[in-house]
Amino acid sequence: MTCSLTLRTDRTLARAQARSRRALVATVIAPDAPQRVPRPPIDLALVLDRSGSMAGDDKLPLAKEAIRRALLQLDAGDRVALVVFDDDVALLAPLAELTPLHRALMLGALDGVEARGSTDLGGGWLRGCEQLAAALAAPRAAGAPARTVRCIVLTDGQANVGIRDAATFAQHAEALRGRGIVTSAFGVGDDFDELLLRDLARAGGGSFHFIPGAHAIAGVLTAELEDALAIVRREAVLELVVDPGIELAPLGAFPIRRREGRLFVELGDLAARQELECVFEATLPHGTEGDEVLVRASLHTAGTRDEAGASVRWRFDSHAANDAQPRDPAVDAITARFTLARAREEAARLNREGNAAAAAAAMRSAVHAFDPLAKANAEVALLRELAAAEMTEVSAPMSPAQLKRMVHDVDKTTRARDEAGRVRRR
Amino acid sequence: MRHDDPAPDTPLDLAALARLADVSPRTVRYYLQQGLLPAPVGRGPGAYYTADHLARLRLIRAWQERHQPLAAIRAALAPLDAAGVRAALAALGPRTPGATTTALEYVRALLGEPAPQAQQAAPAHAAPAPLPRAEPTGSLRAARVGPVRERTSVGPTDDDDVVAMDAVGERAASDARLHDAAPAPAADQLALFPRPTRATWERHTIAADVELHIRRPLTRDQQRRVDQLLDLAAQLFREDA
Repeated sequence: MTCSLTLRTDRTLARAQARSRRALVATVIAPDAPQRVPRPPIDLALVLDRSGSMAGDDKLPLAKEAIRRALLQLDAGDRVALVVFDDDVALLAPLAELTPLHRALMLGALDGVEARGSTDLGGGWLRGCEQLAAALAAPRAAGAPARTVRCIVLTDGQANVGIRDAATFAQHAEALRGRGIVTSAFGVGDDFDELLLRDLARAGGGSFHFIPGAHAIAGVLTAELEDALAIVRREAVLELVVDPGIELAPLGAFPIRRREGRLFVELGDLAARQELECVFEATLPHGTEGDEVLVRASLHTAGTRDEAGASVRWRFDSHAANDAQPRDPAVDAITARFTLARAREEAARLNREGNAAAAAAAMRSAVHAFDPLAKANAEVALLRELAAAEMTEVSAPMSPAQLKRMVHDVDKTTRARDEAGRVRRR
Repeated sequence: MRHDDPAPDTPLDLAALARLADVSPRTVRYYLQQGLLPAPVGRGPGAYYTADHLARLRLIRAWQERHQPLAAIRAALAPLDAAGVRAALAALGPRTPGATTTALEYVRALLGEPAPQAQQAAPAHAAPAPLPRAEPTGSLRAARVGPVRERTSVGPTDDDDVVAMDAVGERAASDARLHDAAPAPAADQLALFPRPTRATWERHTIAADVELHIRRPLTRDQQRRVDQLLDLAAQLFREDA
């Protein structure tokens, strides 16, 4: 079975006498897992914050329990490494197959972990990545299946030793993702840097999870592993080729590359039946009535070019024809969700910087953007009401928990995660 | 400049600047905050960026792709005017084909550790600069739970880990044999998991509620500076008393 790819636009006519702005939505659906075929094994590095603050609210004991439970999801063909960090980094268990002996020794080492010290998040993360990188560098036996490679970092605080800025984390996470290592980031409680962890996971190709209470760590880790163990396609890339004069601006949060006039959206690994959308704002040139312009999309995955393809055409026509043309309500609704997500992201950033007035203005812009469509589209009307309500929320200083929730919600929307933060499945 | 760039005097909004430089608007804002990019021309909704901003942004990006840390980039950018930025960008040229590091080379370079033996011939510029070991900020003491413990110093665990990691496959096979042999781990099997790093900490009381903590061993130069620091601290607190 192959992936499916569809391309839709909100309106199919473009203005001959002026530039037009249209929405473009690419929907990718991964196939189901093949029957009677063992799942790919995983190389997993678990990187756990043991800084002093993890002693509060039972975070460290509950994180350790979550790891114990997570190990039950894995079998002897999987390999696991365990790193803990405060301002020192300790490799408690090097990457090795999860035999009963390795499992017992790992759990024993985990039992002895106590909270202390500061937070060298970067050092801990890189030590976990080093374990995975060493395995990637080792020769693979003939016929051995490709392995899923994941580094999962869990922290409750600010990186205050070693790497401390989000841009550097993202730079290295992107570089390592390009070299085969995916990073997910779990933030527990109210004190971690949500933008840093979000950017680490975005650039790292993994998931960002905001976990307000430590009791939820186990459920989130279990779900993350379930998604990682269900990978059916690796390194999916959506390629878009546009006719001259068309500009595409992405509204989502997948990494984008532009090369030789083409746009590449890096979707990462796809789980069985995963469904995701990439939304763009297309700016079309003016043209001659009756002529058409075209966007072509292709989906590539590791080892397979052009696994799926689709295209959309716009035909140039008069202002009157453009004004009268029907709209695709489903595309309008999806685009509105992404537009609202971008407004919320901007509002959260501004509020975080202490500029609540500008944050409210960002949400107000979204409300006004929805006005023309809200009357005819119930979902857009609902999103407009949500934006109006949030305008009030962001117009005053938001608490750390409120900011984290908003940043997390936006990330889930723009990276095709469901309410629980899991990949969305058809 | 590239063939598809807009005319040099075309004003660019944030989205256009980001798109042309192949970065996100958020990255541009971050560079502005860090002082790596000058502010846009004008203020408010009409603010715009110029070709000079674009060139500088591309240079920052090119240096980052060559794994230079932001602090080094900031220092290198400081003396450059617009012409200097363009010259630096032109001098970089395209990345050398084949100068691609593996994940292991990349991480080891960041951690300041030796590259894997098979890769040591890789060009130096292909690997990232090692990370500086910055001093902790914020309330380090507040974050520390319990008393500072006495620890004994051993050689860097990192080297042990390097040896351990190179034997991942061997260890897996070894584990299987040990599992078949006996259920209870013997002492030598516990060596699979290296003990946490230990070091010696010294506490120097400077005044009531004020201490200096030092982790040994120190280099001779570090010891000299610590002695100076302690003398100065003692003098300060004597003056305050």
